[in-house]
Amino acid sequence: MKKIFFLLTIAAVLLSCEKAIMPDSASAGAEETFETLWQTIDRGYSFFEYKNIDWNSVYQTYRPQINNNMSDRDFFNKCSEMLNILKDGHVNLRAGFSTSYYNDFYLNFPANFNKEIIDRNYLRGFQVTGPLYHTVLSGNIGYIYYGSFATPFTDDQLDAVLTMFNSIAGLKGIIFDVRNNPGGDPANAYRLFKRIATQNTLLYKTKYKNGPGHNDFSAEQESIIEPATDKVMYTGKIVVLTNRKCYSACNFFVAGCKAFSQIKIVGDQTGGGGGQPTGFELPNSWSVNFSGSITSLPNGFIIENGVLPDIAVALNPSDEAAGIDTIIERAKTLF
Amino acid sequence: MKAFILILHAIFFTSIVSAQNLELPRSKKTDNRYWLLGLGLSIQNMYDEGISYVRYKGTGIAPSIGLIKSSEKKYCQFLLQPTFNKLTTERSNELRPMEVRTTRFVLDYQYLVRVKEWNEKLKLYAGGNASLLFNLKRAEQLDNSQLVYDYALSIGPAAKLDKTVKWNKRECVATFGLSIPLLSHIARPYYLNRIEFIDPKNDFLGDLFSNSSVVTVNKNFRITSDLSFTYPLFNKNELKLGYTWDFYKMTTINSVYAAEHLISISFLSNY
Repeated sequence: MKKIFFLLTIAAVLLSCEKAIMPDSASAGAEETFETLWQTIDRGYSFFEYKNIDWNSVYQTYRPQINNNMSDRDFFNKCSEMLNILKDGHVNLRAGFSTSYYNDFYLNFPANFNKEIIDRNYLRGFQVTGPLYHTVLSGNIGYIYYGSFATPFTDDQLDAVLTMFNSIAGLKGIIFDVRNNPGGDPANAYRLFKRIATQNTLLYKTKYKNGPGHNDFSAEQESIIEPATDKVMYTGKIVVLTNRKCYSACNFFVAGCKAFSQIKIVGDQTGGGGGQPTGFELPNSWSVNFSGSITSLPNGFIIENGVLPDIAVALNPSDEAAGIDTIIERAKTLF
Repeated sequence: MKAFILILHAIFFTSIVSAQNLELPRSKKTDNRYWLLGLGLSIQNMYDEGISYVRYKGTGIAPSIGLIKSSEKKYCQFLLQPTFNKLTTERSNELRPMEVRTTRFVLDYQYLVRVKEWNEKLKLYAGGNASLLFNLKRAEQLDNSQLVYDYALSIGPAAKLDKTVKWNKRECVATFGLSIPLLSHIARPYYLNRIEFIDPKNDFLGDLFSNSSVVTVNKNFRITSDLSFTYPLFNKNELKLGYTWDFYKMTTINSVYAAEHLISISFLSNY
């Protein structure tokens, strides 16, 4: 009995040690959660200097407006308002009952895309392979619409599409339309680049936040694509169509297109999103996502606010009324 | 998967252990070798600054498999203990579940020699313990930062105290063991738990070890204590009831505090 008691005592002591050593959970109140939110962005967000944002003054402005007695909804709205100062579509506050977002990167600009016109007058009779909607336009020009990098296509699917286009006698080239593509997984972009690259090609360079200081970054790391010579390649001319709603992984894709001489970018500047999103959980169960890196083209151009097209073209309202996509028509003249 | 492991262990224990409950004196043969197969309940507490400033806790299952070689003067154990847990917080709710799924592997090799014998019934063993710990945590609410891991390959001293007691007319052994790593090779995620999705050659495993360092107890403090009660069965097989407390604090860019309470029952098959 004494032995059992002795052993149980040891167990109890060990349990107590754990509770004494491990930090307590941070308070879930609005004030402490705000402190955690502000500090998380302060230590992790990558574009303060690029966007010339004084995050300390933002604290001075918003901290007095926060108190533990405010409702969750009011607290969420105030935090969302603060985060929108960053003007970054990769910054989101997720509260469960709502998610904050910044969409002015495309809402403040013309749409330059009308899906009805695409469906009725260009994609009529289309084929679909995975998420790739494709057809051959008049003038013997291939056309592919890819609506979201979040929807993956396989190598086999890409083989099927490229084999089909390669088999068309006298095909002048391919229009690859990524307008209104909100982004997703960059791996889908690399899958495409591997079929275009004829040698190892530098796409862009990225430096990552590696410390709490606003200028604490890693050395620049190069993103190099290698050709997939064991798969179906495409060596013809490509015109990529873009607009402001092309964001995040789509933005990275368009940035990578700049590395290939056979690709021309036509349309509007992309919406941006040049930082890799990263996340952290707040003490009150909410979580915040924010950009934690800076990517630039090989020439040093930072892609956070978008990639410029080679040929800027806007959708003409009279063309649109007539069911004509000005940007596609302009792209067709480049073949 | 968990249900399958539970059913497998239930069948194993029912069929084997039920045939073992015969009276036999404890063997005096000097060298005993055992296969160990066990099943346990794992209770984990965690505070990981790479995820949040909130304590997580949860339960899961913990199978174990090992090899034991023991004699009058030596004790050698090789043990693999995976545990699978789902951790939550007291602040979890339907809109924000706050879940972290952990897959934790511990591979231990312990070599002890008898250093003190007060009498036939009370013996102290001391030696060393090499331990490989890998704890992979997935917090989906963090999107690209959701994978957080603790890795440590450690060596350090270990000891155990064996007390032979008579119970149910059999000579059982109550054991208290302790190990504390002194030197460790550790790794935790990069700042902001980054995984380089932007890089076409994203190499998660390669990056894991490129971010590693060799540290002492100041950066990887860990203590593992074991309480067990071994009951002899037929044919030199044994049944072992155990309670293990394993606590570590690992510090790299940020700190993680993790504690596991493991209650287990193991069948030691003599071969």
